[in-house]
Amino acid sequence: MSPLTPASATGKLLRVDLFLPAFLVLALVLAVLVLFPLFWLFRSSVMDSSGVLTLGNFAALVTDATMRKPFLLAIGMALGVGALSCLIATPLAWLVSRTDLPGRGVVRALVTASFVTPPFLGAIAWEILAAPNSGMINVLYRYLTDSPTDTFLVNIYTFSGLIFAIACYTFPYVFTLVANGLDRVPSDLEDASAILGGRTMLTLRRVTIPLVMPAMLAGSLIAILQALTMFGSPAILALPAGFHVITTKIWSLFQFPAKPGLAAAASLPLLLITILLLQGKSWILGRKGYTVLGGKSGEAKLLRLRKWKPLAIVFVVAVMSLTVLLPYAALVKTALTRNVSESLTWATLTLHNFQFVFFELSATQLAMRNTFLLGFLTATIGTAISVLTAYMVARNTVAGARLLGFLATAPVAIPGIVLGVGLFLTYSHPQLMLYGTLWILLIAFLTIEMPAGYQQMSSAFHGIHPELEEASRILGASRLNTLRLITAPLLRTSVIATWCFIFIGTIRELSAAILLTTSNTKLVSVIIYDLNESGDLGAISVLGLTLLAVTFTVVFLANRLPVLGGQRVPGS
Amino acid sequence: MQTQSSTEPPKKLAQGERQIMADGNEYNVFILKESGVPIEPIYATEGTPLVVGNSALLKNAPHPNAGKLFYSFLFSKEAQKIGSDVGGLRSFHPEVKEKASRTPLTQIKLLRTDPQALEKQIETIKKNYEQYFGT
Repeated sequence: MSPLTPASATGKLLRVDLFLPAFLVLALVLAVLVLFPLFWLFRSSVMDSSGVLTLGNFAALVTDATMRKPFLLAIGMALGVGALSCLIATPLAWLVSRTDLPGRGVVRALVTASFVTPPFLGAIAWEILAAPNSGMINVLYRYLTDSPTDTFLVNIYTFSGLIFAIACYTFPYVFTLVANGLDRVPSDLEDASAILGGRTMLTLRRVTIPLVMPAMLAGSLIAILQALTMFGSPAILALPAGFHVITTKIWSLFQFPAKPGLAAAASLPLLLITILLLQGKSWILGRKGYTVLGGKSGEAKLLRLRKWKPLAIVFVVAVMSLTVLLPYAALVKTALTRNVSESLTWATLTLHNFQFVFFELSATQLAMRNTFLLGFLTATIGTAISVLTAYMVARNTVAGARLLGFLATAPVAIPGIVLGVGLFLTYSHPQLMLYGTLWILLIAFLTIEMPAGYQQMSSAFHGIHPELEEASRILGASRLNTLRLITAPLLRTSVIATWCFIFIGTIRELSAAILLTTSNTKLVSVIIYDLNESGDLGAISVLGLTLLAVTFTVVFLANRLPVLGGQRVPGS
Repeated sequence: MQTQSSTEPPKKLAQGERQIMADGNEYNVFILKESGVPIEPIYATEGTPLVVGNSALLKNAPHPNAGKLFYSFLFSKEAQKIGSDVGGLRSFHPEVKEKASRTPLTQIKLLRTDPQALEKQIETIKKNYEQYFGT
């Protein structure tokens, strides 16, 4: 035996590796975040109020027509949103990534703007634009065509209107995946097709579209999932139209007399559908192959649009107008006038709504502070947990690490509104009273954002070869030190993107927050929803625009601060 | 159009989104009308439901006497007059005079409800409503 061995063994003993304790703490945190509300959900779906086991709630789901219908409508709506998102986003992504379309950077920035817009704010903007009588588009239509007052061009309070208003804010998911895919796919294969005599359309159909098919499908599945579990937009557009989707139905089950058992049972099929969709997504993306086939090659060559350029520009301008420009114009106009039906002139221009929101509405300042404090904390803690979890799973360091990945992904299947109820019941006992504090909101937001954060970091880890970490380990650093000194800096842009992603997700969260806020823990999103119920569109516009201005500033700073490096903007 | 809050229908009228509303609250109609919006309340000959705003002190309230003081202010002539003039609410204080432009409560046929009888029918009423109106 070499004399060196005992010495190095002692050295190893002295340098305690905190990895296992870190793993255990992480597992505990994730279990508390995820399993508590899930446990409550299962328990209350199969127990009546006296604690007797029953399947009555599930029977009601099948036999009660008022429960069946919202399910069918929600599935129809979600599929519609998926299809429409795909239809808008795929050509847009192709034009931006592969052609000589002018203003491609502007388009990417506008898609980012659509991405950071809370869907419920977009829905309200579309109310202002396309309500059958007072909607600006309809007012303009009647004025231009001299039609009688009971005619309208578009009506947002319809099933198709709802699909449209949601797709406006889910299409960036498809766009991002497809554009990223196209950016990475070398144009060699398309060139080959062209050399072999394939015309542009043939190449498009036989080469390009099959190449981006996985990204297209995966993006559509995310859009479908988003639509299925969304509460705000259906609450704003479907309820006035006189129909429920499943999330609003679940919410209505908590109105007097509350039926939490039935609500829990109704959310379980949602959980099941979500798991199936996610499985479908990983199955589709699992066949990635395509994207790496070409190996290293030059930059993708930009296709000349030639005579098609005007048509492409019309398409892009139309999409951007409908999803971003018109809704924002409507919000600005509403913010600056006293009444939605007034036209904006120098005479009607007023700062009344700003005055009201910032100086008269007592909840504004508190809500702003709460919202951004929670956004900051959730993003920071959430990103830290995501990095650790993704690292442990990707490098499979401890037996059972994969379990962490499952725990971190599971909340994606819990609709926010259901999580809200689960957390309310879990954390409002006399012994553990978190309801009424910001802590319960922090827990809710961490749980909700965990899947997205983890997925982003997980894919980032898969893109980094472990050899640099191995070098660090061989040179004697502990695993946590390696993660801190080597891996995390390598992942810097992904970490910043994840932070921004969670921050944006948090400050626009409504469905869980609406059940968990109290007068001392008000949030901007909840105030906007309350103001919508009382019809104060001017105040909503001011709050919404402020929220967006701050969001953009934070995202911009996070991406441009020299300390943090990076130039990446999420969603582009 | 179905709304979720009784404050919303009057504002939908003010925006010009709808021409008439059923239900919705009276105080917003007063406030909007008195601020110049062309809107007029009509009281059905069959009767109008009256919603009474109840007040109570919590049994284990930390400052019960402060609560009692607040209520004695709330039910004073002064506070009730503010509620009537600015808030558009009906006051049962004998000395509070309503604005002349408003139909006095005595001229409106009121519908009385029996909460206990109603409670038993909640499920049926909600189910029927959903069947007729969708939400």
